[in-house]
Amino acid sequence: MRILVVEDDVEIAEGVRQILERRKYAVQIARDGDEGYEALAHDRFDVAIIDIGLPKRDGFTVARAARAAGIQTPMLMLTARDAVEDRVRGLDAGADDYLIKPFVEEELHARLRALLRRGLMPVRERFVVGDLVVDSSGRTLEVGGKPVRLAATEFRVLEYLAANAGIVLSRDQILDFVWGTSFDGSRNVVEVYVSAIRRKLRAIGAADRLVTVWGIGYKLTA
Amino acid sequence: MGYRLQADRVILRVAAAYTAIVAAVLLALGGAAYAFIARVDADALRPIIDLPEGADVYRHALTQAALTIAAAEAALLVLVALAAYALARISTQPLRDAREREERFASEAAHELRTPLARIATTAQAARGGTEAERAEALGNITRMAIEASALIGDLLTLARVEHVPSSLFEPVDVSALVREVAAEYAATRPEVSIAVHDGSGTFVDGDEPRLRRLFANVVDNAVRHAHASVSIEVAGTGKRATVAVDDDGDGVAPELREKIFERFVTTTDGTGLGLPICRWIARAHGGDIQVETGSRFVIDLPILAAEDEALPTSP
Repeated sequence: MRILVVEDDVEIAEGVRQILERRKYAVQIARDGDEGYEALAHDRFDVAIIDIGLPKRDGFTVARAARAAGIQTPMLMLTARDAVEDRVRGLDAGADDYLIKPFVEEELHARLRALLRRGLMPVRERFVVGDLVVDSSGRTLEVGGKPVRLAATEFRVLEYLAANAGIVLSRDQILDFVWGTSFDGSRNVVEVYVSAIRRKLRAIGAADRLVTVWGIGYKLTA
Repeated sequence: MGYRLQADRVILRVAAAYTAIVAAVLLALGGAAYAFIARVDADALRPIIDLPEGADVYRHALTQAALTIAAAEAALLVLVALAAYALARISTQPLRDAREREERFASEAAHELRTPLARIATTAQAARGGTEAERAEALGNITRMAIEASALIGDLLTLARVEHVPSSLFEPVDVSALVREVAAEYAATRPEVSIAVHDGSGTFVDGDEPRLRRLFANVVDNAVRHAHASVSIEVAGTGKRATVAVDDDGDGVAPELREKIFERFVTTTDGTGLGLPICRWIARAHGGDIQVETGSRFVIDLPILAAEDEALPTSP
């Protein structure tokens, strides 16, 4: 697995490199926004970890430019704890998730595993299910032209359903794909997430698109 | 303190500006009044104004008029200056109060931040000569202290801004799982204290995960620090509320302090006095609250997030 780390702080970049290399990831480091974008554009990575405050162009700009250029590499933004706005802006810029720094190693690995699973999705930029459009690279959802904002994991659940539109996915399939097979939390997490997504869809009158197939699972319909 | 001098200067400047404006207006009015009187007098004295006595009378009358106007204006100006000063003081009072609070907050915050940094520096230096095992332990402690210091900065900013968390960041959070994680993390800080978690598995709330983690971490940290030997945590989802009750076998909070400890910088021990105010703020931002029920039992309640349908089998 190849990981790009875009971070200008030498100490942090090297620290992250060591943490990742211990888990046998291959790490490449870019020291500023331009270098980071070039690496994303010309090389293939399984995940990119991008800091926000970077020289030349900031992390948001790198993410947005990469998505605009059709680059699908999953992106994890590094943000400060108190910077709620940065977290929202990161997701809006097309990042897949954020990690609050300083972080504990286990947290970084958990986020990476989630993003790597997402990398198993069919490489497609958009999933169109009737008037429901899931833009994977921009990380946006529109229903009948109206945008619906989803949080990071909610989006991964919906995207998985959209990639398999019309097909019933069982709770365990969703659980394995989004949370991973080693997930040991409560197994009704899937129901709770589906309900949360449905609530957001209901706000624009589209709750019926996410169908519960009794005794089997869930599907997204046109 | 510096800001006091500066504030006084601002007040004086504002008062002087008011007074100068009024003085200019009064001067113009006085000039107009003088010109008017001069013309009226000249008309009245026309028959004799060319005689030396007439000219004297005219000059005398004008001097009288000028003196009267000047005296009246001077008296008015003194009044205006005093009123302007008083008004400026009153109207800037709330700003000066806010400024004073900010200054106090900044100095207390700086003090709070120095403490963990000093501990990190000390731990790192002490570890230099230690054994391999001691160094490994020191590194673990340094990591934890650095993350705590960073969390503290987050807390300070949170309290300074009291910013709104946009609901687009809210997603289902498994409270039981989060509390278990937090408990495991803090169990390591005082191995002699045992932590028991009794949970209703799968209690979810709609929230901002990092903030909720902070909420539980603060309360659990508090309990672990004050416990003699054990901490008990219960997570329950009943009806529309999810509750997390954290209890320790320590001395507890005196009844008269039960509300006060949720105020900024109020602390009974070596804590920062920010933890519990942060907790209350986070709980309320999620539509819940936190309270001290008995001496050492803290109860957090949050609106529960239920699945709409629970008709799925565990395996297809």
